[in-house]
Amino acid sequence: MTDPLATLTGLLAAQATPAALAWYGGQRARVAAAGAPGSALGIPYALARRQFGAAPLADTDPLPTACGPLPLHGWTLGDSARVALLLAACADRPECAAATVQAVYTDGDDGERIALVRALALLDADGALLPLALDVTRTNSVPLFAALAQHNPYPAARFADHDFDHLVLKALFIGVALGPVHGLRRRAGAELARMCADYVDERLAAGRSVPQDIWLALAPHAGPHGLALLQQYLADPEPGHRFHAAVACGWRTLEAPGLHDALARRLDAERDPRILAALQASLAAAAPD
Amino acid sequence: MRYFDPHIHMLSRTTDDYEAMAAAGIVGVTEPAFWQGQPRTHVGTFVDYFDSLLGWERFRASQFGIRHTCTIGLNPKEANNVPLAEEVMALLPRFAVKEGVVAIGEIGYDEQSAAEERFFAAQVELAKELGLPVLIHTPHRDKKRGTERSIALVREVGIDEERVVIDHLNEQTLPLVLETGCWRGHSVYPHTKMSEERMVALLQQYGTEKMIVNSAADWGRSDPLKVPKTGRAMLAAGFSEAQVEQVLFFNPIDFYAQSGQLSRAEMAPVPIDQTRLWEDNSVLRGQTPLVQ
Repeated sequence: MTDPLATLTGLLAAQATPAALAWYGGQRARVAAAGAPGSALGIPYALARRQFGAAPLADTDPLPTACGPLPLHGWTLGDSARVALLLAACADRPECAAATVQAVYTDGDDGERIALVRALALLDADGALLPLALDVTRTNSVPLFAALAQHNPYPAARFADHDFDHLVLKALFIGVALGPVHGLRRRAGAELARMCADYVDERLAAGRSVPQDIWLALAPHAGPHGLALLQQYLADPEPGHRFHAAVACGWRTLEAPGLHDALARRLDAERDPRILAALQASLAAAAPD
Repeated sequence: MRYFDPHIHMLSRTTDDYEAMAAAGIVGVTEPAFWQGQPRTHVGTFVDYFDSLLGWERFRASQFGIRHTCTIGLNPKEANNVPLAEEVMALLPRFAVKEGVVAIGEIGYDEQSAAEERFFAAQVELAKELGLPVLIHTPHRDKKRGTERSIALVREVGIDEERVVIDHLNEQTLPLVLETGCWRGHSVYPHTKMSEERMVALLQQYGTEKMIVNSAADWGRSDPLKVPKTGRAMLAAGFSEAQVEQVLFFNPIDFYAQSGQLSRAEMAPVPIDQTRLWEDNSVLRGQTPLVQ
């Protein structure tokens, strides 16, 4: 496996100013040499953002990690420098890595935490950071929550069913889109389907709108009531509902009486090309009734 | 028309709110102990928070003629930091027995973790031991299951259901609580949770017995006048003034009176004396003190 620290350093070298790179070189050596792991890390970690700025990292391949490929989606130069310094502080000292990461997280503001949380798959070899990740699920900060829930292989790889389900449910509640939730299709189970169906019922009883991407979490293991809702929303006036319901039908591998026919009917009636494409793809994937 | 708001986080509200509440007829409140928007990390923060509920906030309310009571407890979100939660649990009893503490709360589930269940059960036990009522917060997410589990926990601990109020109920969860002896709490918010109209519909459908309405106003978008507004909606829907007073004044007082720290008789308005200070602090900033 390629060394993530080397990869990130290379990415920074390609885009950052000479002054920033010189600063980084010095700090990287200091944190790696520090007597107590992490003791020299706190301030440079914070300052890295000012040195490197908020420009996005150029498009690059996902980094391989123990949790699967990690896309560097939304990473800025500052974020990358922060993660690189963190990796440098923990390198050759895996026994202190979890404590070092925890200390940076505890003392970090939102921005500092976001950079770290995005990189959890890089920082956690053996699940030692799971309690930290679970703590992130309880945050009130939407960007911090999104850094864990979206474009991040860590939850799907490491969370128990209950925790993953609640991550998805909270995303629905606070308006964090489900499309970018890694591993949703694989991990969505019967409990999550039940919670989503209950939530749809609750919103309807309150006369409130239903999140348009809830179908992605509900469809794979929906029971009869969930399936009935799914079929209903395949034909909803809102294109967002029709689109996500159409995609979600293709995610279902279990038996689904009537679903194939419902998809076929929609194919005749639908005018939106994006939704048509989703319907066609799902029909091809869905088992005939 | 007199009102009592049994669930409102006054620490996050301004004196404008207190003035408006007093003008609208609110003569008493119960402020539950809860979290403050981002997690506390030291037990001392809890100590200072509990002290402010008992001290500065009670004083601030009195400056507007409002009788302020509170509940004490470890909320579900912060129960997930187990080492900190254990420290808080150790000092809860000493706060729970202070004057003006009308219940243990608000406690319950947030994401239904094992840690939440542990501290939820421990606090219901504590309430049972101290003879205090319990205020249960039902979760915002997976609410139906969370309510079912809360009821199961109450029954397992064996506390008298008459001494329990289960709050933030809605159309799905109220029927579950109606099958118990617990009181039925509802929080009326501008955009989320319950609305006045839906509340009136529930009262029409299920009656007024043990029904409790609150604003749960906090640091977020919420309205500390939702209780009087619900009263107006009830009147518009044909409820009598006596019924409005029953639900929005006597019900919450009678529930919390079980603590021995509140009573109907005591709920006359507090005479205002704005010359008073709290630890040399005044709520005034150059205004002339009002003395009734």
